[in-house]
Amino acid sequence: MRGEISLFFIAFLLLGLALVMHKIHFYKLYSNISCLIDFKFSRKELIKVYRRPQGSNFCSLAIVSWSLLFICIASLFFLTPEIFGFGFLNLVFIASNYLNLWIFSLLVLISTALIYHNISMMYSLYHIPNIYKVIIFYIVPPLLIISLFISLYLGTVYPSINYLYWSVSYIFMLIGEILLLLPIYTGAGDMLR
Amino acid sequence: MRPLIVGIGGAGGRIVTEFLINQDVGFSIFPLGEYLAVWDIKGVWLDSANQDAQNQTFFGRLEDGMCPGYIIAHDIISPDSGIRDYIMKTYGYDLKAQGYDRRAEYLKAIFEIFEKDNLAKHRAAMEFNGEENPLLSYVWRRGIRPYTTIYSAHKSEHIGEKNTILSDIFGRGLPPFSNISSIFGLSRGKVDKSIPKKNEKLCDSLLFIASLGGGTGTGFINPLSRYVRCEERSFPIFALGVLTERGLDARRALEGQRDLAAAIALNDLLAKRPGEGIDALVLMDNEILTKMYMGNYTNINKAIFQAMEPLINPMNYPDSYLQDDSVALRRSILEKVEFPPILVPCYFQKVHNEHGEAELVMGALENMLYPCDPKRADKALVFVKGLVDRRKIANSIQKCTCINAEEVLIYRKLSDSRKEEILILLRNPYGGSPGAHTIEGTFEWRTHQVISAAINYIDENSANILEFQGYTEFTKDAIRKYLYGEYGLRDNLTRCLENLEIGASPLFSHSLEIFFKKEREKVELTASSEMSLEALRAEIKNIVKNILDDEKINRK
Repeated sequence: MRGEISLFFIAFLLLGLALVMHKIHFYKLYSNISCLIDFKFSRKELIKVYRRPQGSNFCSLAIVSWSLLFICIASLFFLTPEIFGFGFLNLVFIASNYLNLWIFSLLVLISTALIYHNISMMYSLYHIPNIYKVIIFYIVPPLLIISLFISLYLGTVYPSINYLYWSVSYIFMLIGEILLLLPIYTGAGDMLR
Repeated sequence: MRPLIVGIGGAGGRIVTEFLINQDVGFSIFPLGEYLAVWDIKGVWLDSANQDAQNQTFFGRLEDGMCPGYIIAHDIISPDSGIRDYIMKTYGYDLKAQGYDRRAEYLKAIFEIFEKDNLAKHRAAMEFNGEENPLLSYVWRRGIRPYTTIYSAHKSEHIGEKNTILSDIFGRGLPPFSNISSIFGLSRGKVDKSIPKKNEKLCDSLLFIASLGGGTGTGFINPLSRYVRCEERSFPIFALGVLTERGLDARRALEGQRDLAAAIALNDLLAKRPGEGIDALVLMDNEILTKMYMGNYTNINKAIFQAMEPLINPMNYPDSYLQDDSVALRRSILEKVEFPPILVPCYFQKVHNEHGEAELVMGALENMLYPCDPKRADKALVFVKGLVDRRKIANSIQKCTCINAEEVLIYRKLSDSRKEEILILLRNPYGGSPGAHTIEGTFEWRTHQVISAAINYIDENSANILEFQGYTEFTKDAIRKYLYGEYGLRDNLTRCLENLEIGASPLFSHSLEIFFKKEREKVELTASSEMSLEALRAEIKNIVKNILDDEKINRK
């Protein structure tokens, strides 16, 4: 169990690392530019200048992928009470409803809306090479959907447990997350070097 | 600066492709979303050869609502058009010629006919709902103006056909949706949603890109910019001309033939006052690019885009959001010059390092895209991307070029990587140095080569030029006078050579027209033999009054 909890934190650490890199990059950029101009400006102004259109298809798919990622994480760790001792299936009144999985997804989407919206907005601050866009568009959603289906399957067969399936689902989710964060890692990383 | 990039002719189309590569992703079978070029800029490809358009898949037909779109100028002319017939019989020019294989004078003559021949104008007006110059009107109103800030949403722009209900509803007059599938985005994946909507950003200037080899690009820039000027005197119009390489080119055209085309284009573009044609000509030499990229045209096109990117990049420093506003840029470029200047681009990029400004400037000045001596330039416009110190850049430029501090304009842009890039546009880097044409690597040296080759071609190929298939005797005579006559092109080019040799500037001071002499003779004859001066004055007054009273003209 402990191993799975640490895997949960790894998923969040990756996300946190990207956010920290992003913050440091913009902080450094702000201070560098401040040295070069005799003009006071806010960070918001800098971000406004930095924003670039990434394409409506890409942005839509990025938001969908991020929301899928959070649903995947929630399904893996919080659908059944197996890992943290509590889970969605503990809420008998909702769990017994025939729309339970929809309700579960909706709750996750609402509770994480701000996070994934902000993260996908961060994309507009980086130059994302076309290859990354293609990966995020074509590869990430299928990976996350597979991971989600496996998690939902594990939820339906609970209390029966299949560690192999769980691991496969986790790996797919983690690859999806890394690919989603790749533009930020490479973009901010390049500037911080 | 947010220009509309207009690639003209085959080479122009291929270069503009680099500017318009889709930044978004999507399914090719069932496309959704808006087409997004780099920095959301807009562009069109203007050509005259349908076969070129058919042999590519990047552009779709603008008329079919595709984006990015191409427009074939003479598509507006039907095969059995009356005006086509008239011009063919009177002059021997075919309005539906598929390309103008290295004959710069061909398009020049066609557009002059529409400007000078009253009968042709009248016939065209009858055939195209009052449009006297249907080719240019079509290109400008359908292909270019809708993307610019001068587009008026409420005007109907169609010529030669009535508006359809669909175009009224969906397209504010353009483009006419040819079928239902294109309305719902099912047409070839390139539905033109880039035609700006009310709140969308329109282009504040024009950037024509063409090769100066004598095809459609060379022939179109001058008449098109002149046509635009009839409507918009101060709208910024810039042109990027690529001089073709030495020796035989990919289409086996002689160097002299291409250089003649370049000389005609340079004369036409640079001998007009600001407000009558283009505002500046950015000049590149394919000879340099070919050597740099081993003749790989794909890489050359990429390099041209890369070099020009700092110009269109909108990531201005927070203290100077409006620094590269097109109108302001136009003003800066035209300051203290009588004629549109030549701008020689110098481009360099490197990875960021502390105090690397001098290296950046030196690198750029060693990578000039047209041969010149930077010390001869009278102004420098510097577009630099990255974390750079303005003063250090200015100092380095001054050290390397001897340009006064107030004539070095620096436009700093933010970079999204550790790469720093610089584009220096050197204004008029020639003149003031007699004998400079003998020194290899100077502007005078290269331009002298081009003009000399053009003169040689004129001298040695009169039969090839004049006996072109289909020319009528009248046309042959006009071209003969234009090329070989007193104060003709040959004389003009010879004077240009003299200017280059003695270090005088500007290179060209008056433009030439093929059918000009005929008109002048006609007016002089009328004035001397048939009317007194007073009568002529009264007649002119009467004509002007009639024009001003004409309801149609007032409406226009």
